[in-house]
Amino acid sequence: MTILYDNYSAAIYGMIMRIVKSEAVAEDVMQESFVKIWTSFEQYNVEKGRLFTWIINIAKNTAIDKIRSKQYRVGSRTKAIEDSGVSNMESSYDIKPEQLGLKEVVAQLNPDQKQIIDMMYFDGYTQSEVAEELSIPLGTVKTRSRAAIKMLIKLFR
Amino acid sequence: MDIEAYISSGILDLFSVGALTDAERKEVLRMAERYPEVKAELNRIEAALDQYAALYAIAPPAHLKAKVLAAVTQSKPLAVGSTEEEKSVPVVIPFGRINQAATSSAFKWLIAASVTLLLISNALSVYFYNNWKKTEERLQLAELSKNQYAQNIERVQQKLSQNEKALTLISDPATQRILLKGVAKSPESKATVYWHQETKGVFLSVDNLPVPPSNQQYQLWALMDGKPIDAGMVNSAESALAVQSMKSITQAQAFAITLEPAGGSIAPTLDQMYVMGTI
Repeated sequence: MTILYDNYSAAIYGMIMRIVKSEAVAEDVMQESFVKIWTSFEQYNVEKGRLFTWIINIAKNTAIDKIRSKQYRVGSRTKAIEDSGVSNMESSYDIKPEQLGLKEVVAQLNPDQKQIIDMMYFDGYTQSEVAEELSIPLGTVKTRSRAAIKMLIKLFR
Repeated sequence: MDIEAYISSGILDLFSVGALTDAERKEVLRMAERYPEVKAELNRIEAALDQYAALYAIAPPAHLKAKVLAAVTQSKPLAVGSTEEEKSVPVVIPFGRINQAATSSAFKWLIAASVTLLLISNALSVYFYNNWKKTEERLQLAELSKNQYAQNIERVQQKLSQNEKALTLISDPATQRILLKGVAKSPESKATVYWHQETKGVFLSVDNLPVPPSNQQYQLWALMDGKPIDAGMVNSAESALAVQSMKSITQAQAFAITLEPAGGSIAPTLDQMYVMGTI
């Protein structure tokens, strides 16, 4: 578990911070995520996918569950943090790229495509929620996400 | 099915970013299992997304590591993928206050029950030990009296057989009865000698002789031509009516009893003669 933490904690923490945007909450989510990873580790199957994907998805889902839970809403309201869908989503784009290379990657992505990927990937929107939120057809959501990911695949090759 | 069209529809991308409903997800998983191309594309997409996510990596605060690892150790450990170090970490299950109260109450009851049982058990032990002791004593007494009875019976039987012999002897016509009368020293004394002429057996019945001192004993003598012949020691303990078997005497003209040192003498002490009778 120590090895797991050393290898993945930065990526997981970044993912969590990207979603919850509060260090205090991120620490809680971090703990919960690692407990979940630990207790459900036997459910991980190499056949089904990459370990990183599996781990990052657990952290992501935990973080999303957290910001959607009533507890968090009450807590964030006392901190006067706006948590309605769009404003939350938009604030997430304000995060400054801290990693070398992120700027270049982000620059390569079409902003519309990036927005859709981020809404779904980081904020847990479904395709129909994205369509509704952005007032675009479902088909457009699909084509944009397809284009964005094609670009990512190309960039990271 | 056109796999290229399926992939380019963007469904796999939606799957990878987690934007599909559960039903749609299952469909994609089925496809990935069926078509290697779909699976390969999914892998590519996920790898790209992983790297995209990794771009946002932020080093977590240093103190968080200990916190997270502590939280993990307190959770249920799983064997899969765990290292030895983690396996050995004990699972701490905190007790709630209610649990503690219930536990301590149950514990108190348990102690009370144990103590009660111990006391009952001790009391029973003492009771049964005493019973056993008493029974043991009674058994010893019973065995003692049984032995005494056995001895008594033996003695009685000996006496009976003696008496039967004596009676046979006395009632036998061949038996001569000689009365020994008290002499000057003790005129009150009396004894009877039964002498069988054929078997030469001699029997003595003491009627009245003074109790001898503990270091002395009466001795019966047969007299033949003035010579005394030892006829055996008289058992003073025998009752007056008892008939004692003495030594066989072949020839005799008279019988006499003298008081001799315990164990008898070779020759009679004549001044200690108590009774005498001639044939």
